[in-house]
Amino acid sequence: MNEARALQAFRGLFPATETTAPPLAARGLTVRFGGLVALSDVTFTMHRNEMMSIIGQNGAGKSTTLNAISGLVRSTPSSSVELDGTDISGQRAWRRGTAGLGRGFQDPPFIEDLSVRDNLLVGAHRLFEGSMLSRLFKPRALRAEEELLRERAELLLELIGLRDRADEPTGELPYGLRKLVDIARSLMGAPSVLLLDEPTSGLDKSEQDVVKNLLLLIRKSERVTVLMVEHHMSLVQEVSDRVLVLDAGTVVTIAAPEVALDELPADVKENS
Amino acid sequence: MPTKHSSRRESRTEHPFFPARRMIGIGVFAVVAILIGLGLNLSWQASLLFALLACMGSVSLTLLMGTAGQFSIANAGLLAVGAFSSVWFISIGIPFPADVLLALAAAGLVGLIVGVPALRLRGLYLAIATLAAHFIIYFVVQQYQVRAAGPAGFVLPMVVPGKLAQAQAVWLVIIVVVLAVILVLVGALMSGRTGRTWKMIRDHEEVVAVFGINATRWKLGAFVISSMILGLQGGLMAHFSGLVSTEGFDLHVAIIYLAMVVVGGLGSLPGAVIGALLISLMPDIIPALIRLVSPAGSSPVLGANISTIIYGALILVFVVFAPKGIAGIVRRASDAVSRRRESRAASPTPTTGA
Amino acid sequence: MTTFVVFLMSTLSLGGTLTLIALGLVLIMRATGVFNFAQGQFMILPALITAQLSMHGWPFWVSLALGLIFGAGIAALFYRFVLERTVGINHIYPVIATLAFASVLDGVMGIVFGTQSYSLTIPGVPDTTVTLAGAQFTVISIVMAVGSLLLAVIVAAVLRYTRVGTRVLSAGQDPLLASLSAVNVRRVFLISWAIAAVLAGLAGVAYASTTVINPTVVSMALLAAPAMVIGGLDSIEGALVGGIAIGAVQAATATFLGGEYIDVVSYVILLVALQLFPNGIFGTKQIVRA
Repeated sequence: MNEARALQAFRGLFPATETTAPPLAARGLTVRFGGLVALSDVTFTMHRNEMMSIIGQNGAGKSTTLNAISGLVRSTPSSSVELDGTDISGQRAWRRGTAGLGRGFQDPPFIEDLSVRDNLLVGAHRLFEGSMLSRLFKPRALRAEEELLRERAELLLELIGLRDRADEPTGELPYGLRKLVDIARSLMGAPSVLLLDEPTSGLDKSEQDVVKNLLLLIRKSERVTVLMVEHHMSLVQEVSDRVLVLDAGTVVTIAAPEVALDELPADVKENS
Repeated sequence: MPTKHSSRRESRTEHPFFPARRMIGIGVFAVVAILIGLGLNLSWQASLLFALLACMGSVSLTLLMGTAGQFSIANAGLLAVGAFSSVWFISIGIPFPADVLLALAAAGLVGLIVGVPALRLRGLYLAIATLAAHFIIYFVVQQYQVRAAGPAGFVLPMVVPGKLAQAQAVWLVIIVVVLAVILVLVGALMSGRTGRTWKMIRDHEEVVAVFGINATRWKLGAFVISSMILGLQGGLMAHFSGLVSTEGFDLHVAIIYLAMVVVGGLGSLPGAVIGALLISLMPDIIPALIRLVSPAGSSPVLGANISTIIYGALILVFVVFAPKGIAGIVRRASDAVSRRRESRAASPTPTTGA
Repeated sequence: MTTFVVFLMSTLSLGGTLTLIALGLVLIMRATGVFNFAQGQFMILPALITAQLSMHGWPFWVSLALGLIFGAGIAALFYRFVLERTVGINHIYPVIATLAFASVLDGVMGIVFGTQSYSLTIPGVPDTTVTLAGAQFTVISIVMAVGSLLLAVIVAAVLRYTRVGTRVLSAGQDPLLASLSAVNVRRVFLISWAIAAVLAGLAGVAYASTTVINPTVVSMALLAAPAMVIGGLDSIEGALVGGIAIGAVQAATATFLGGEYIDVVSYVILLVALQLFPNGIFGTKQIVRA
């Protein structure tokens, strides 16, 4: 599939957004684990369709930031997170998922026995949650929906180049491909904001390139806002609009990649 | 655009919830069950009917524990709810089969009451909550029995008229048909989007929320559905056997059902049926086994103890050596066979010359 | 006044038994993340062995030691050869395994010991009664009640404040420890199971010396579940508090409603507690998912 076609097809997966509100905004995000303060007063506002990378040392709180936004980890009552202008801080994690907050994982969780295709379909859950019971009485609508979802899965499989492995049990896939499928799965639900946790960790150079190309496609499509935790600085520089530097749970700076990377202490810069 | 003629596309046209292969399988099973049943003598036929009834509970448990990954020890208690509710509904004038349907609802309600406090939390809490449910239910039905019937339990009037042979044949058809319907419904639930959602909750409960999955609601759904099926079975059992007493619903019975699903294979529909049939028909084999070991004869107490050991041991053996049960063993065997076939086709052995 | 004293004594007595059992269950929960449905069998097995050996003339303390060692051994073997194998696959299997193990033990004990009731006499404790505030209590029951609670507190303190104890407590929770060496973790888990079995066994012996012990007593151990829920499934302190709380509930129920209501009241409280404070008084807070 050539690039223009791919871009057009990808764009077709997402409904057009009319909201002018910032896709994701965090204000005073603070997370405490017992006595330990993992995140302190993290504040940032993302622009529509931008790709922002969170970088920092191990233990700086990068994954915790994603978990707090996703709702998998509790933040303090004073913290605030807004998705497309709506305050989601009080919402349970599953509601945030339904509202259009997507998520990719560092160690992607799959139903190992099921095929790649089936695992992808899990990602589309938010597109039909809420009408489960009604579908029982409308078999034709059910069929149409299933068909639509399978087409989405087909398209994403094509985009990540795994159409011929779609029916393999996911447990048999090598780690690099699992990360790829994870990103594809997170796109199945047409999220307006996508949180990715180290999408290229543990991948060799060629696998990193595949993910990078996918990220570039996402960026070019201008349909998804991406907040990404990353360690690979070269990737960060290539795909990010802005970089957020986290240190010991606090925001050090938010700036364009070149500027932010310059300000990094030398030992963090080594992780390219 | 993507190539249209990938060889794998065939499987996509099958119905997501009622695939032809499973429907045919269930149909064949139903027909075979009826034919075999009609050919048996009354005693063996009754054993078969109890085994087929057990299939209902077994199937519901494999959905709850195998597909959704939620452990429950309340199965005997829910059967009791079904059976004793039927008794009560009959006693207030509601006829068969309406009483059984109400019993199904009653069991579902109990499932809801037990599930709501427990399922907001990790799966382990459901195990404990269902333990509590078992004892509470047992107490309630025991009190009911003591006050309304006496130690022997309740006797229900026959709902299927006619002589024993005809009545039992009618029951055969009733039970097989109901079981077939349950197999179709549970099979549908275990596959497709519902199956995938439950399996994701089973394997990764802590993170499923990011997909918009409300794990609590789904777990509760599985538990209530399983409770209703158990209630239905309990009600049917009550009418078929005509006797309802607390003896048939203690913790040992709960363990027997666990054995069925573990031996059959958690999460497998045919596995649940096979496990239920095997375990249900086993008590007929145990006395023979005992006679082999101690020809001097056995007391029913010894038999009961040996049964308890065997059920427990069976579960342990399977958990350690074959966690996917018989269904898993069969699947592995057929995978191995098809893989050998594929590799032989891919690299044909050269014909050896002289 | 008399009623109150009776109530107090019952509370201490039942609470003592429950606390020991609950402590063991919490240990197992922390180590291997499973509710041990076989705890009731661990409770009565050493007592039955002790009773049987004593009846055949063996000295009491030797019989007791053998009974406890056997119980601990069985528990450790069960962990090593069954539970350890279930790690990694679906978390349902460990729970099923403990239930199955309970079943096997039930059957074996039924064959070996039959259905009769056994009673234990502990040498050295006078077989007399004492009158407090108008009610009579056997010295043995007082000794056992106080002894159980004391033991529970001591064990809890050891676990909390000694280095060995904290290792045992944190083994199941601490990923760093787990990554250090598989053998170390296994040893800690084995110890957890063994201790849990010993605690349950001691509770059983105490129970057998004040009343009787027979196969139906196993369900009593399961009453530790409400205690754990109230105290917090993974909390040592919770086991103590919960054990006494449920002991009090049981004592009150026996006095005002009758002994046969003990089970149902305790379990109703479990469900209510689960709804109202799901993490228990001391348990670690989980994210209560929607």
